[in-house]
Amino acid sequence: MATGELKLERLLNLTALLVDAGRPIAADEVHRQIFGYPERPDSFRRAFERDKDELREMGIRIEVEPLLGGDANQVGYIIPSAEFHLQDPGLSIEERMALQLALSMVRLSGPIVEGVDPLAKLGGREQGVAAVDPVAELSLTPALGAVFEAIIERQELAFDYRGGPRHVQPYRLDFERGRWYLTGLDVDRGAQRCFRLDRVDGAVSAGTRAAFEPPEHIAGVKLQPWRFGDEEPVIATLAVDDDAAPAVRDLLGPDAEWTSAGGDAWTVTVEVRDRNAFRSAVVSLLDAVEVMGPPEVRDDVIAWLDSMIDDVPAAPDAPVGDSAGDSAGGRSG
Amino acid sequence: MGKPHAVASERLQRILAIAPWIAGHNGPTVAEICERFDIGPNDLARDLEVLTMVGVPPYSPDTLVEVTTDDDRVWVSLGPYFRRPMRLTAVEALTLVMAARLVGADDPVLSGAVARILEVIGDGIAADVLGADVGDVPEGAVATIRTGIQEHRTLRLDYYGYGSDQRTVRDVDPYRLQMTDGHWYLTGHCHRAEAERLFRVDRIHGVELLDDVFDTPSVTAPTDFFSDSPTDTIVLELDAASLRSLDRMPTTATRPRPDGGAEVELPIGGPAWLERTLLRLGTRAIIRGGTRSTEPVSADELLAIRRDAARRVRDRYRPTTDR
Repeated sequence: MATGELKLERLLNLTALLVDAGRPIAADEVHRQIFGYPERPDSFRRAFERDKDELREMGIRIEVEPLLGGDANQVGYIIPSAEFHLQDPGLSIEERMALQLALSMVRLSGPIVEGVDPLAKLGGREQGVAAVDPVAELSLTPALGAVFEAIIERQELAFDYRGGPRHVQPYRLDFERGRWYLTGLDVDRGAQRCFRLDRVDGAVSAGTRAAFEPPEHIAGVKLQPWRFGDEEPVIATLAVDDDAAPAVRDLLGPDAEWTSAGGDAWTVTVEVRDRNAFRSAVVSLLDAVEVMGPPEVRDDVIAWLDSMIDDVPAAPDAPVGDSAGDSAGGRSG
Repeated sequence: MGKPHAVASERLQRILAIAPWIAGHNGPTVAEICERFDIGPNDLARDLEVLTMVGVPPYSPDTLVEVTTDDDRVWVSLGPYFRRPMRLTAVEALTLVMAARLVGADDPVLSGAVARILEVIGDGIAADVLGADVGDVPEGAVATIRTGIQEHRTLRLDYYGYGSDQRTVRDVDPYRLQMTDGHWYLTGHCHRAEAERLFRVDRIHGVELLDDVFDTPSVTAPTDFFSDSPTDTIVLELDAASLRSLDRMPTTATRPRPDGGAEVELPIGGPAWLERTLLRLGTRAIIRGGTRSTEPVSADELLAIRRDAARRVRDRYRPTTDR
């Protein structure tokens, strides 16, 4: 039998042993019971460590616990059955076929696509589901697994972001315009923040499980970059023509408040934390919209327009508003 | 082939998915198993052979996995430790939920499936831990468009053209529906423009399925962006910050500058679109020129367009002084 087969056999037997025993198993016992490990204790130890790492990489949880009846220093390994086995979601054939079709319509991209096959665990593919070309793309970024796991398990996360360490209680993930955003409580800043996952630097580490209670309702990130700056929030008021209302609603999103100003006009208020981004959004609506206040925001828009009428360069300290992605995510402030 | 350990881990996961399924069915055929799990008969045979060597102490025949084959049928008898498949990894669960959200946000069958999956992956996990932005697509629009594509039936769209800043009703023969960067796009032949066009589904205010049946052309040209005038372009020189703000706009050519900026060529989606883009970027964008119907357009002409647009918007902020 080839080495690959032997190793596979060893991993399967190790898994079976740690699931089946119902008690922590000492490394010595693993060495005695499982066929295929090297004889020498130090070689065994290295092979055993590698095997555990590989099983953990597959999402298998191997817990380390004190041995029953042993002294406190002696530990054993156990795979809790409740966390190893898939609880049957009880999907109907119709639901499984719908999921299969949905999956075939989505092209997975990114570095961790390899080996992702949720359908196999749900009983494989049904016949009679039409093969279709993908119509949408879902990118799987490296931090995604750890972050979603932490949301499910309510673990606090630690990671580097924009050059500094962050501690975050993760609440929610959003996939917006091809990018992943994490919404959660930034523990050090004591405030809810959004983070772009592709801006997370290096590894993400997760703390103990059930470490916090998420709020009941978590609003996701919507790509309105003026909401994600670090400036003191101001409430801007806009006058909007009725003709342009659909486009303005689309741009401003559900958090803007609309009141009828009589006739065919609306008054809209929106919270702004990044004035450059807000100005970019407002002027792109052309003359369908007028910023009524506060005065400094209105004046900023007027100055921007005047610079183009006079064709003089804008002040160097007034950079163009970043795109949503650049502004999403809390900076200290 | 990947690294040896990747192969072992992939096979382990496959075996622990296939074996419980075989065990739970009364002697399925090799062909059926292979089709269901997308695996070749030789690979299946190798996997089953490994499985016969697996069990728990004392590894006597009655504690080993039992595999029986007869003609073309397979039976597997497993201990309780492998009787259920492994739980879904976080990424697998997320992939299922997101696929359902992306392509079928308003499909009741998929919503039901998602709810059941969320139920088994976490204790009381809320449905809103995963969000997918599919725009404000009118209810049923995606389904209606899909029917049109399948049945080759013309659609009547009430459509807001961002480039032209106008709402129009147009008949479209739908060819393709696609989601890119969080927006659904419909490609089809527009009767009004007498050409192939790309439409953003969230800008469709209403869609109606007509009885007219059309012939699908054998080859449809891929369309990169929505435009009423797809040959028009503008060339701008931008600093790094302005360039980032273009992020998701289609650029057809860029020449990077050492300071992080670049010269970019943007396709123009109509006169209003041109004004929006110029006003948004402001004077930090240096206008180099452009093309209209393949004829060159001077930087001065484009500057005048920007100035006039700025003045028009500025007029709304009057009455003030003489400008």
